[in-house]
Amino acid sequence: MQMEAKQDGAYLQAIACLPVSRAAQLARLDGGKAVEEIRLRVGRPPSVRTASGERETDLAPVTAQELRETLSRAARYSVHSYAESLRHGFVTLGGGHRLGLCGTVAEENGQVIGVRGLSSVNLRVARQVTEVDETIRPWIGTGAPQSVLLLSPPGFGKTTLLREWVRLVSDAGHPVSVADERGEIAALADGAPQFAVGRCTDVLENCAKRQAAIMLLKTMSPELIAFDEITAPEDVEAVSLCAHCGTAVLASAHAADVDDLCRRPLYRALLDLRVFERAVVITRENGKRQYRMEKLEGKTCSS
Amino acid sequence: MLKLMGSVMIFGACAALGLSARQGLRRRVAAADAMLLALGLMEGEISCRRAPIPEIVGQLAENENAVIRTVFGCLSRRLREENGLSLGYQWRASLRDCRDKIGLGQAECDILCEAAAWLGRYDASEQVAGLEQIARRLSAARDTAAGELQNKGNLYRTCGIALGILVVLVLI
Repeated sequence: MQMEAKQDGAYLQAIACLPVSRAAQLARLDGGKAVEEIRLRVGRPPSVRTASGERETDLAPVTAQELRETLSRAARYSVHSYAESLRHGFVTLGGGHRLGLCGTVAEENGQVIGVRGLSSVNLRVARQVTEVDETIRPWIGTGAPQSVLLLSPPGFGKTTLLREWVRLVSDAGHPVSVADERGEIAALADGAPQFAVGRCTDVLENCAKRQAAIMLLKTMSPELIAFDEITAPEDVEAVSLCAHCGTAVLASAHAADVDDLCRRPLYRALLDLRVFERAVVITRENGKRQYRMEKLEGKTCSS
Repeated sequence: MLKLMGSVMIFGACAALGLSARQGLRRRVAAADAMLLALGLMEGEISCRRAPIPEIVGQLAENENAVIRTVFGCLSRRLREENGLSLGYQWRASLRDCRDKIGLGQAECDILCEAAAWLGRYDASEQVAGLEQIARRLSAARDTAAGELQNKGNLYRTCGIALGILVVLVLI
């Protein structure tokens, strides 16, 4: 897939959650278009990560106060609206960008209830990509949607590929439903997706995948349901619900490849459902993303 | 003729003084009522929809009640300015800027300003509890203002009119 952004409006939109003076500094930075992540660590200058790696800028070191202000702005001064995602250590911003948080965790009854004393944040810039690599396009197909699992380590572009996959299937006339738990696939704002997700796409945002699957199946009659990041047993249940209703599933998971997937019990359970026909594995070589298709039909983790 | 005109003007001025003092008390009660209504709406939006504060402020800025519209319109404009100031600061500044315009009493304004310390900083149940507490205190202050209106409102009006009559009689 060609990972060039159409414009660096995404970068400017993402840094708008930073304190005004810091955002102004970063807006002047060269090469904003290629930036995939901005990392702010207390006592260190901000770093930017591009496809070729992470580099530190020569800007003033980040302060703890700046991180607190960043979180307030990112959460739109409304912790109550983001309580659930803060428990998971992130805030999704308008435009689908994600602010990951690190610091001292606050716990209650063994459950994380938030992050206090922030030590670093990772601002991940979400971009729309509308040019699909020629190797992938035939995989998406023209007939009925197939169940596909997208695999890669974090930051390799699973969500970006998933979004584009959804758009292409949807624009081909198949009703697609997106269970956008983190609001990163469609990034709804006032009910309208901020990313192009296709003309036949319905989006349910901010809802746990299992519940979203039930609601979407009942109400939207999709031919394909898309989930981002299968990470918990409840997510596997959501996939199972869809598969046994005759709806194709498009999902993503953190794994280097199918063998890596098989090593973890959660994903073994996912594969045992025999829902997915294929897996697309994303790798990175010399700073460029590579895509590989693997057949999952009939595959078991012991085989 | 001039004497008559002068008398009418003096009487009018004194009566207006009394009536405006009464009107100030009425506006104070009305402003407290409006802010209580706004707090109720905020509570509902936070507890039922988990709506973010800027969205709630935007909705209240379009409310039918002129007092609510004035205060939250001012806050909404400030939030849109993206000047890097905290929500707490903007909340306090908006209330203080609009206080005279809407006729809100100093005591009621101070109670509302206290919300700046926690508004938007905690989860929904804490926010709702905080808003309920502010509403209870504001309601008590509103009752005091209403009592004042009942006791002193008529007194101000009568005194104004009586003063006007007295001055006219003395001058004539």
